[in-house]
Amino acid sequence: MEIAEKAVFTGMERPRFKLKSRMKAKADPGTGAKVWQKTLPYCMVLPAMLIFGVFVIYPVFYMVYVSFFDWNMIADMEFIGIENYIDMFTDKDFWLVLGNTFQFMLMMVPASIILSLLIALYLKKNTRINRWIQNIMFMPNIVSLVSISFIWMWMMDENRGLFNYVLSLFNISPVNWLGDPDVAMFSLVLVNIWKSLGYYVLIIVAALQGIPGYLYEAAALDKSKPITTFFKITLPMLSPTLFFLVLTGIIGSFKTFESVSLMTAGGPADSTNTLVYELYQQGFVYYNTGYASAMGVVLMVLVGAMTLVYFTVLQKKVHYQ
Amino acid sequence: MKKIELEQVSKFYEKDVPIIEDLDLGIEEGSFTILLGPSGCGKSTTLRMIAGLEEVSGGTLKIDGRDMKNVQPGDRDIAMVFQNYAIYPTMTVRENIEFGLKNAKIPKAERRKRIEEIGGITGLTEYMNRKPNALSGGQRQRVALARAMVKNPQVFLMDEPLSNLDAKLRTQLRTELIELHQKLKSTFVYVTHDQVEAMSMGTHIVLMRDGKVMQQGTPEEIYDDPDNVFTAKFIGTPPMNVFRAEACPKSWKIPEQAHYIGFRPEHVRFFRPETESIELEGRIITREMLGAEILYKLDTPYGFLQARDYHTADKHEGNVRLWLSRGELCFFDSQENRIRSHMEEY
Ligand SMILES: Nc1ncnc2c1ncn2[C@@H]1O[C@H](COP(=O)(O)OP(=O)(O)O)[C@@H](O)[C@H]1O
Ligand SMILES: [Mg+2]
Repeated sequence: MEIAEKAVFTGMERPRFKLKSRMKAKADPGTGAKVWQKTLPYCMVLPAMLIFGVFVIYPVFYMVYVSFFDWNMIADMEFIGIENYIDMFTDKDFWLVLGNTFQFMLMMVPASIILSLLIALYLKKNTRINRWIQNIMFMPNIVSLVSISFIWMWMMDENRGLFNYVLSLFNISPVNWLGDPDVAMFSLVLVNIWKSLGYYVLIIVAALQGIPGYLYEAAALDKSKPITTFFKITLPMLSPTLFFLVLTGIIGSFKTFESVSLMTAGGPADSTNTLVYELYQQGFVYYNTGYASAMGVVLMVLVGAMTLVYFTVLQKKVHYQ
Repeated sequence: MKKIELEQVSKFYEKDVPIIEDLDLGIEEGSFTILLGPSGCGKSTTLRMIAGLEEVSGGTLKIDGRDMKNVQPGDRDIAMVFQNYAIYPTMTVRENIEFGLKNAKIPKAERRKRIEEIGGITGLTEYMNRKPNALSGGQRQRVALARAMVKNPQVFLMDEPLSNLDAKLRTQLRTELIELHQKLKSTFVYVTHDQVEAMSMGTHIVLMRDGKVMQQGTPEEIYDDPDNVFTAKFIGTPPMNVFRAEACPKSWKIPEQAHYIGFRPEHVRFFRPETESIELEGRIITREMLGAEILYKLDTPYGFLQARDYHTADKHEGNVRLWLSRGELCFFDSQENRIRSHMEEY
């Protein structure tokens, strides 16, 4: 027993121990088999845990660690305590970026959920045409956001874009979709809604179809008007699904990056600069690695808090069954 | 007076596949009418057409003499209890019961009074603020009943409301439903495939098969005077014994056009009756002592039969002699329909 344990824990002189443990196992198959039985599951999850550890756990801890240093990825790391955090929280750019991120979220999440809910209610009936519409709507989701961004950039071009061409047909003066600080964020939200709408609709349609039909029959017998039925039956029944979509939507908004990077580069005048884009700039353009790490920690706390909210509420409230 | 009338009603889900064809049915005001029949015969469909949840494909459906075409389910003055209860899972018991009242714009004070009263009747008072998932099956069924009762409807429609409950609770709720019907004096239409339930609860039974009415009448009429072999065999535990006429000896003096002979298990006697009778021999296969009666399964030269004997002190074994009173025999023709003219012949 003792030897077998050592064999597991000491890497050195492995052949000798292995031999001994094998001999022992032969003499007493009971203990050897037992140890093997206990260690086998750990051996089997080890590769996965290693990958998880190396690529998830370690970077997270390293990020927290780096956030206490002044570092540019090349020179020596200099410990500066919480100075990065002080810098960040006293920098008005950080608050601007955080504000932009919330602005993006506050436009993106309600609009995409309400819009997809309306579409889903329309597509609820499982007909062939509806399935087709749903499939087509889902397509933007499998296309890379990079390609989508380029197409939309073309459509939103001030001089040669489709949008302004259509507006000109109605004699409306052209809009600088991505160049006007008052409009650019809205344009980004539009692109992101367009991309994720199909996914939202898919999930909500599935949830709608999961509501048993007899509830609607009971409601009809209870003299319920369509609007009452929607607010008293459909919406409550959808609440777990909608809650999931809201939370993942919020988290996704916090992390929004590609469209900002490709379509506006945070501009004009930082009007579309979001948390992750600023983090990227700090980390990989200005090489303020410590400062970027501190931003990363803030982002992680925000996302983590949302996730925590999700699981706590899910366990308690939104669940009705 | 007829409360609900179906005239030549038919129902198609798909073209050329009639589920119900030319159904004529009258449901008396204040009756406890049972739609009875094997699974898939169209009972639920009929009930759902009355409720307005299913469109009537042909014919007319009237409630209180009024054509119900284009009348919404909520405007038919009916309440329905579903087989799976169909309670709103996101609402509390109180909200479930109150929902219909609110929609009918009944004032708050009145709502509260009615809910309190119904809560007392159904024994739900202490569960009013619970969500349905925190209730047992029997309690959920009571919520479904309370939700129907609180609306004071003219007609109660129930689709196998007891079939998801265990046997004991089922018997108990059966009695409660009978009492409820007597108290409310409204019209009950109750769907079941269980003939025991039908016989024990109904004041009127409509026996259906393949979307057609096989026979309707009081439980006594249906039991004592079946119109056809199907009814004879569907009603009664054990059902009526039916022999093929051609297998039976000439000495039984069976009417010429009769193809089937039926008799109830309790009409099989182990002694010679006073009245004109037929005598046959049989061998006892099984004997089931049920307390007040004994059920025998016997093998005879004309087929198997079941007998019910109330003389529990007597024990019959092996080969026995049996007597059937001629007046208690039912004859059926080649179409399995009852021949009633023989009554006069004898
Ligand atoms: N929505 C539907 N679409 C197509 N066929 C149906 C539908 N509902 C019921 N049916 C068919 O109608 C017949 C009668 O059904 P139902 O009235 O539910 O029978 P029961 O209640 O007597 O068991 C069955 O053959 C069933 O398959
Ligand atoms: Mg049914």
